[in-house]
Amino acid sequence: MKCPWLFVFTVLCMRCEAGGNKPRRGRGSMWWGIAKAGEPNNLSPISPGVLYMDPAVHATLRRKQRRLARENPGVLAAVAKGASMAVTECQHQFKYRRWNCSTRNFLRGKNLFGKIVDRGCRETAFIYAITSAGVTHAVARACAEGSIESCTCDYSHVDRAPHRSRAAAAANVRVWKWGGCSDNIGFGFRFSREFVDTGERGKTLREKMNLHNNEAGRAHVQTEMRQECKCHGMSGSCTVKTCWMRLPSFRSVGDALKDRFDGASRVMMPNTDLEVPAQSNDAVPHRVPRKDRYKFKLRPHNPDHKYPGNKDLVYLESSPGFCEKNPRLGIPGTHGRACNDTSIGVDGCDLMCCGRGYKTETIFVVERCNCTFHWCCEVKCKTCRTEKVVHTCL
Amino acid sequence: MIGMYDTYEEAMDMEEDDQYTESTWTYIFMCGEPTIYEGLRFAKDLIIANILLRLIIQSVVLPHNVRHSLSLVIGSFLLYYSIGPAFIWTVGLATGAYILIILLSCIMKKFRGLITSLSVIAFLLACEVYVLNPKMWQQIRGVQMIAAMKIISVAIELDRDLYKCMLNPVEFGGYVLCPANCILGPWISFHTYNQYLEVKFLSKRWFKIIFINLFISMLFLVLSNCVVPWYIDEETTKWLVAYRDAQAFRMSHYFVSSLSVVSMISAGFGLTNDCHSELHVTKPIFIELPRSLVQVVIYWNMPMHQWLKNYVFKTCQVYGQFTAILVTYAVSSLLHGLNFQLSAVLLSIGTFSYVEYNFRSKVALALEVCCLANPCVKQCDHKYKKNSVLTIFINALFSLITVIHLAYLGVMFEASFSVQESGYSFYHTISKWENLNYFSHGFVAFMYIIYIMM
Repeated sequence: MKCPWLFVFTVLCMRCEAGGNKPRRGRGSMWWGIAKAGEPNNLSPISPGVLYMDPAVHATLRRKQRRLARENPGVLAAVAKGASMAVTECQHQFKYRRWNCSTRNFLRGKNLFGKIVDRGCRETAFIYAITSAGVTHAVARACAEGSIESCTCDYSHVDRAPHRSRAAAAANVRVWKWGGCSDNIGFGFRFSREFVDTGERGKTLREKMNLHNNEAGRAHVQTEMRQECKCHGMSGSCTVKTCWMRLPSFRSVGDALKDRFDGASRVMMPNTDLEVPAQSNDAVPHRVPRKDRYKFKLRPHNPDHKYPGNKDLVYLESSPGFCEKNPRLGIPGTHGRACNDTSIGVDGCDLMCCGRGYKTETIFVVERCNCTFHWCCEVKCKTCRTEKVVHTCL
Repeated sequence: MIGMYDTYEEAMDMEEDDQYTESTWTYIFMCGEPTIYEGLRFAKDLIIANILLRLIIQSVVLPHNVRHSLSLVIGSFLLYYSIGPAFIWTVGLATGAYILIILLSCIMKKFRGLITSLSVIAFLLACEVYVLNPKMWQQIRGVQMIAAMKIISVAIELDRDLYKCMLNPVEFGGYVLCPANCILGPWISFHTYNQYLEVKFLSKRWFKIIFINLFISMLFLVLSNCVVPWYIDEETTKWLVAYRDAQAFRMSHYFVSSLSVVSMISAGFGLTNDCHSELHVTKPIFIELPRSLVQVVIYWNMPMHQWLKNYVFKTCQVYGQFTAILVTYAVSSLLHGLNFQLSAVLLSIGTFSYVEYNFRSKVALALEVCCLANPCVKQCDHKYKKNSVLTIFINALFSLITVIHLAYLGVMFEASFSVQESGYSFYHTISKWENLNYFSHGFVAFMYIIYIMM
């Protein structure tokens, strides 16, 4: 009885929010809430059907996203996994920074990462990139594992091997084709574009920023993918070749994106922006054609800097200070955060606590120790009680 | 506060463990599926060509020469489909060698084997050095080797007067390009080939044997590609890593060998009239748990061993035991091409097994223990028999040494794909051995000194 009402309410709320109150934020970010679905506070374990029925999940999705989930059974579980992977990775990468990628309760139309995403700052750029990368990665993997029905290993693509064929042709060897589930990443990429970029029409500068960062996240997953091959034949010759694609570990994607975060470029609207609608169909002036959605170039804020590449993160405004609590921006402040008294970096107590000082406590921690690896795939540990000195910001 | 901290730490730990386990299995899966797919894609051509040959031979009564020409035609097509235009080199080798044998037969009756062997080997070396690019050579090396072995065996058997009359071109071509073994081997003699073409059978067992062997080969393929390279961690000692890499190479060899059995069986070769397989190419169990290097050499590729023994060793035996062994290893490494790595590995195996053989016979004599390189055929006349504790201990020790030698010799073949594809360099070989401090070479030298002093 309650569920439909909740559903209607949240959808309405989302509508009005997207329509007017928050004009600056891109509109496609509500689905992040799916990362928290299926966690202990929700009773159901993750299984595609249950997840889809979950009204809380349902409410976070836009109409097009719901259609995509319906058309690709099993994909929602992958998206949820990708989103929670992204959150975990984000929190890992920003563990020792003032902004630590903390998440909020996503219910009631609130954004998972809080109001920080209303601002077009570096942190927001990272959030968009890592979540989009997470979906690409998780969907590609789920596709390879066969848990998405609409995505099968498409063996009709085996003949496509542009990067190999040229070398092979030059070497006068018959073009060697490689098979296997080569196109999983393609499915993940396309799906991520459809799903994640819903609502980012690319009209405003902020939407362009979101699109660019989403694309950057996907590009990192795609380019870090490696092909591994091996030869087989009599006494080490190469009569039979077998190759397979290996998805990068999500940690390496996170590391690469963190590097881009540190070197992110601040951008502004290009002067030539007017050309894009002029080239497209004049009859529909307000709508950027789908194909051209990704064809834009952002201009660096500082004209001396180079134009951002497709793997760079871009932002529009400088980050707010994360030191003090700021309810308007949803910043919790660094009060009570743990810090490292010997470090001179951002995780050091001086910077982390913004000069407010810190208190030092000695606590006993029960943790795993003497871990040994057992064949196969099991790690057994003892528990030890150790003394730890913890510094927390005032 | 403390409690919260604890649960947080624990949650982090749990998460990392889970991720580790998952990524392992996911990796095997992500690697296994495309691997099997490609393995089967390669096997498909082999099986189709060979079954086609067998079904035609079986169902239609054909004259002798037509059967051979059928083998010739199907074999050529199969070669073309698997290695592309490079198959011209194999066909060229066969044609050239046949013309040479015919010409030689007009002049002399004695040295045809020797001259043909030398010319074939010279042709292979010329191919490698001057004509073909390294990638292409790496691709067709195995095929050329099999063809060369067949040609040499025919030439030597002609010298030994084992044929009633000179082979006609169709017989010769059918034999050299026979689809059952022109790509992955194994070598079979012309007589066996001829005999297998005559064998008649038709039963369900046939499919069962093909299927079982195909399954085994795919198992070895997945082990080689996906399981073995992973199961020992990179950070452990370099000897364990060397063992792992060498084992991955051995698995790859078992894969090729069992796939060659599949191709033979699907052509109906190596089957008796009541459809039982009598074909053995390699014996993984005797290599993974070796008694001695000598045994490894024997069981690594049994048909090839047979060939070397029959045509090289026996021919040279008149010039003395040591010369015969030396020539055998020289021919074997020349057949593999002018590659430092293969020559070094083969020569090392030769010396290692020679020293081991002699050392063990001396130990057996001194301690009266049944620990020869080859197990005693019947009741051994040593004091300590096969099952005594001392014998088991000494044999286990020698086994361990062999395992180390195998890791040392096999680690060569683990390389990045570009190296695998275009051939191993001198530098690659030396750096691999340097990494292991030339242990085995030193150890064998040490063993030899003890042997001399004993």
